[in-house]
Amino acid sequence: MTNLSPLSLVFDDLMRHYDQYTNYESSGEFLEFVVNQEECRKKWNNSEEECKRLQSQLQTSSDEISRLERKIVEIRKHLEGKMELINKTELEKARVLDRNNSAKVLLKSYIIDGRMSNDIRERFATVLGILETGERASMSSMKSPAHGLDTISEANSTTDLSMTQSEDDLDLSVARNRRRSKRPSVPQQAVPAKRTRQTSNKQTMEMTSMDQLIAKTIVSFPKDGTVQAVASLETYPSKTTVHEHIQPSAPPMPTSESESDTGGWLGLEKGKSSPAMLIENQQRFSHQIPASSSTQSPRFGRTLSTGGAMATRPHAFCQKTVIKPEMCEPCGKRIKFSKMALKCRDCKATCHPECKEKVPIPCVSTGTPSNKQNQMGTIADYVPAHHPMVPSLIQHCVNEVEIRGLDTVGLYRVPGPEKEVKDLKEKFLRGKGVPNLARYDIHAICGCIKDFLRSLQEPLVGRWMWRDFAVAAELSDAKKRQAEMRRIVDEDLPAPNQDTLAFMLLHMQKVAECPEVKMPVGNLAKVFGPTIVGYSENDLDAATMLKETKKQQMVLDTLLTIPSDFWTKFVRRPQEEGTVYGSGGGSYTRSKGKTLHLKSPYTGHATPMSNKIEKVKNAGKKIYFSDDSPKEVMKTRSHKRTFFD
Amino acid sequence: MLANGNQNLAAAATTPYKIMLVGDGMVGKTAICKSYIRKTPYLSYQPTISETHEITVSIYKNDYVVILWDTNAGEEWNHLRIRDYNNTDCFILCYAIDNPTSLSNVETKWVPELNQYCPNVPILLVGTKTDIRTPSNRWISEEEGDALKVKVKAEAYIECSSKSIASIEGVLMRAVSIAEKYRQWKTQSSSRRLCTIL
Repeated sequence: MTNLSPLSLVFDDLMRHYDQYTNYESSGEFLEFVVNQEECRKKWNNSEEECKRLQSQLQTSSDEISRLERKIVEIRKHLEGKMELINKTELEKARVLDRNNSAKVLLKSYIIDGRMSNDIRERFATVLGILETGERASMSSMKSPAHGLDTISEANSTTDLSMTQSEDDLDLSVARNRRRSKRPSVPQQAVPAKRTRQTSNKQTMEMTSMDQLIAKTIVSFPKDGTVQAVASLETYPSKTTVHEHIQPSAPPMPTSESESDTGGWLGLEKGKSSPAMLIENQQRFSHQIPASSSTQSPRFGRTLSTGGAMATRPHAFCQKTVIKPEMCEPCGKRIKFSKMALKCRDCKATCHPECKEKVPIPCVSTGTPSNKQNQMGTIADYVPAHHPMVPSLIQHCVNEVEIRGLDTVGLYRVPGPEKEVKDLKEKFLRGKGVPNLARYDIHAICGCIKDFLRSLQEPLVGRWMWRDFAVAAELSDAKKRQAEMRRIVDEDLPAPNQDTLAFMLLHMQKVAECPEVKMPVGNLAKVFGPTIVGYSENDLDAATMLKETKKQQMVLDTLLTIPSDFWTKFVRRPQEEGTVYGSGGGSYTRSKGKTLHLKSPYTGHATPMSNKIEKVKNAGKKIYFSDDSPKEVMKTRSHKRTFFD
Repeated sequence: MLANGNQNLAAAATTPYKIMLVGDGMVGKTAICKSYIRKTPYLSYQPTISETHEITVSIYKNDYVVILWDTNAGEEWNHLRIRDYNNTDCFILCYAIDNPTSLSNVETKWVPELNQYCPNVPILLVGTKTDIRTPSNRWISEEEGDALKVKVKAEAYIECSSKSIASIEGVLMRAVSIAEKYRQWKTQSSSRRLCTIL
């Protein structure tokens, strides 16, 4: 029994476990678990399939997206191409208009030219009319009437030397709708004039050196719209010979010599006796009184242009045959092989013989540009050898600004297109005459002046004198301040700096006087501070720089408040006695006085100087102009024949 | 507005955003600044040399302190302006819709300059003076501005007029949000750079 007991115990144990296992009610649960598992597997399978499907869908849609993107890029490129095309067409258009203008100018010059027969002139006039109506039509279709002048049309309107445009038209941006009638007719304005307007233009043109002709036209625009015009033509036989004109004889002008030195500049006239003179006198006083009822033009009421302060030095043209094709500067066309061309000895201006009159005056020789490329010299490297020692770039740009820009808001503040500025400066500094400035944006011309002055090695107010000026500017008493500055300018500045500084300041004073520009003295001082006065040293930290900036402004502010007479004397410095210049349009001699006198026919050019007219008048000659803009000159030239359109 | 800014601790804790106004002369940079501060249209013709204004811009009740730099556009001030460029969070690059030159200078002058001195800093392109736009005149259109935005890779393009204060606020709010995003990106990228070094 004892042997069996462990076995039976084991057996019992086994049996008990067996019962436990067999009786356990787990089979049902397990089955459930298995079924669940099976379901799970099926779901899994399904979702995997779903996933695959979605993935393929994603693939297709991303393909679609990339396709569309490519399309967008293509369309964008296409668009850009179109935009470029538009730009190009606009440029082309501007060019065509430009060419049109030059054609007109040429035509006009033919019309005015006395040598032509009446028949041919008439024919030219009709062609001119066609040209102008076409242009007007294209202009009006291009822009809406209320719209001001955009850049392209602005360039046009400034180069447009149209006879049909009066000064007022240029400034009013109203629809121009005028009827054309045969000459002599008067411009008729479609827009009802708000007030009675009377524009009078009188001038005396010298027909030959022996006799003269006065054409006087008074056009009035009353409220009711009926336009009245009174035109009269008088001829005065000249009793004097060419040489006697230097000493004025008829009409008598007792104070002419002194005026040419002092009063003439300020536009103060003293003794007048002849009727023509009296009329002229009235006109000139209307310059002085801005509120004068006789004129509405913004150009009146201003003092004379800075350009007026310069000598009207003519070009010394030499004829030569072209071998290497060259560009004619005024008309921008190529001078072809073996054709004749005129080249100025001093300023290297090249042009067609027929474009001679359009080369801007004065002739300013370009000095000796520094040999080093990319590096600018000092002001002395760019000035001509004769007085006024003002670089040609400055003289011509300033003239252009004064002719075109004195009603542009923000002159010298608004930057010009950078490319144009660089291009213009480069053209000037290459030293081959003067590029045609009418093609450039007015702000680009301003930018060119600033850029040139800034890039000089020394600012106009030399670095070595910077502290003197700064100290002078800080004096509390305005009179003392000015006196000190005058002393420094007089004694310490070299002549090229003096002349150029004076020239620029006169110009700035003129700009400051124009309310339309919205650049009073304070603003100009700010803008020109770093350009003209500069800094005491080349490398400064920001804080010192800011401090010096304020001083620059003070210096320039003071310089600008010094009356213009002080500056005028630099610009109108006498040249050597008795120098005779040139074989250009007219011949010039020097009288014992300080000014140049024009003796023979007036040479028309793109940038006339009012003081030339002034001087001519003082010399007792009979070329009178009522204004100093090129349009005016063209107009007056046409008045010679009382040609009104 | 200014008093609120100091109360807001969250805004005071972060360094103020530096936003710079750049663009051609006479497009109205100072007008944007002054009109926002004074809440009245600012009309003046005085050129600016360099001015800074501390302003507060609130977006969704969060106040952000912003230092707005008003700069001068002229070439003659280049050296001064470029020195101020450091650490700018956002540039507001302006052009006037009535001045095509200012538009072309955006592409030829300003964007190259900004990319040279401050690469990666976002640019908000702004067309100013919209009040003078009428259906009939041919000023620069919104589409052209948008095209330029794409071309110069500016962050956004928006138009405004200083005669409508709401539009000016819109500009500054947009600028601040861009600046905020740029800050975040900058911190992220700098921390990432640290990781790779380690």
